[in-house]
Amino acid sequence: MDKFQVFDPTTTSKEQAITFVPRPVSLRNLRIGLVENTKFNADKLLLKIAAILEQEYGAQSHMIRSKRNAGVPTDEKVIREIADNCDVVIAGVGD
Amino acid sequence: MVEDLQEAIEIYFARGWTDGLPVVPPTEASIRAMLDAAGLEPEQEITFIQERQVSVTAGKVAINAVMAGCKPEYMPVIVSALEAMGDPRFSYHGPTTSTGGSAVFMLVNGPIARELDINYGDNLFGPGWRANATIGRAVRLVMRNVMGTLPGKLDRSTLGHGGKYSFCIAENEEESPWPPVHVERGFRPEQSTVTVLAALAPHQFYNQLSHTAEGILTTACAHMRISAGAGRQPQYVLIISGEHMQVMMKEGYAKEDIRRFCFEHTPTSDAELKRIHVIPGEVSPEDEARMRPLVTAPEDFIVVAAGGAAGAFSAYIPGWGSKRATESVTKEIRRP
Repeated sequence: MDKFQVFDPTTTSKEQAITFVPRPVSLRNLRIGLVENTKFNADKLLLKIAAILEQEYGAQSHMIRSKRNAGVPTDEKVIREIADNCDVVIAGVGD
Repeated sequence: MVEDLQEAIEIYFARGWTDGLPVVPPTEASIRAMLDAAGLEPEQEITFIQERQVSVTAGKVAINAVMAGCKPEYMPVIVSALEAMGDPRFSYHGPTTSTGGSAVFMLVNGPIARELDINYGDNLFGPGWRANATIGRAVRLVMRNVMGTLPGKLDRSTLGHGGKYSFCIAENEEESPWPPVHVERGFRPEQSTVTVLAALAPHQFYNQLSHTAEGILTTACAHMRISAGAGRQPQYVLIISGEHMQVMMKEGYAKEDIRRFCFEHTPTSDAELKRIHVIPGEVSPEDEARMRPLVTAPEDFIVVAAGGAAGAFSAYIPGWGSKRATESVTKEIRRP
């Protein structure tokens, strides 16, 4: 009987180097970016969080932008706009 | 190296590389035959899944195709299906990860369907045809082993369905009075294509009382109006089977007539969709008259002639999610 070689059918993802901005010590006077993913209630949840951050933690302002759809990455234009105008970002999933 | 066939089969189970059924352990020769049938080398990239950062290479596809039980000549179909799934319009990550539990519906058109004996007739979605069973299975194994679509991890399906083992059919181009799907999409009849759609399970409907196309489609629309895609507007596949196709053929009813009739007879009021909790909000008086189409345009009904000759049944297949999130993609099947 012949021996069988085992062939690995799997692949691993390419490693991505993702660097995070250092976490701020305080939210005081920082601008909050909100990325809602179009799921039901995602916008409401994020806006409530932004209100708490402004009222209780001294954040300066917030802006909310939407993804095209929950299943796709955020559009480059939205990423650039948030990066140019915000200090911290919150993305959330509703439902 | 393992000692015998049984041990090899068990190794593939033990390493989590199967769909729950035994696989055919590949050999150098069987992998090479698979690659040669598509004119590919192992390192060639078939597609790249951006959200997963995964390169799908021909070598890995060939291994999975052998495991699935494919003949080498099936390989070009598998390759084109994977290319279609890597197309941004299909948007791989959403439908394959979602709790919504879609499978990849595959429709093969053109001469290759006959050559490979891809079933378009009796027991359309059932077992019995090697090509139907193993082409879809190979794609699912690639999704699992290469694209990271593992149940409970990056496949979060709540329910899933049987089509996740395999969901591959052909169109009955020989008996159909209508242009096949690939011709409707701009390909020549002699070209072969595969169309993929992230889709839920097929639902059959029964109508042996009507002798008119519109009578049959009235039943279809009643079933579809409040179906899985209601309120979300995905694409729908409409499978028109033998007896129903004969009725429509006698009337000279065209695919575009089917699409138009279904588009006009499947809208539901926002009030009804709110009452059954498909869309959010309180019902307002205006909601009673505000009609929401089942799909965004008549073309979103993909009409396919297929199914057995006997029986007054046809079927519809709801796409997953909405057309904004994913849509059907057709690619040519190329052979060396």
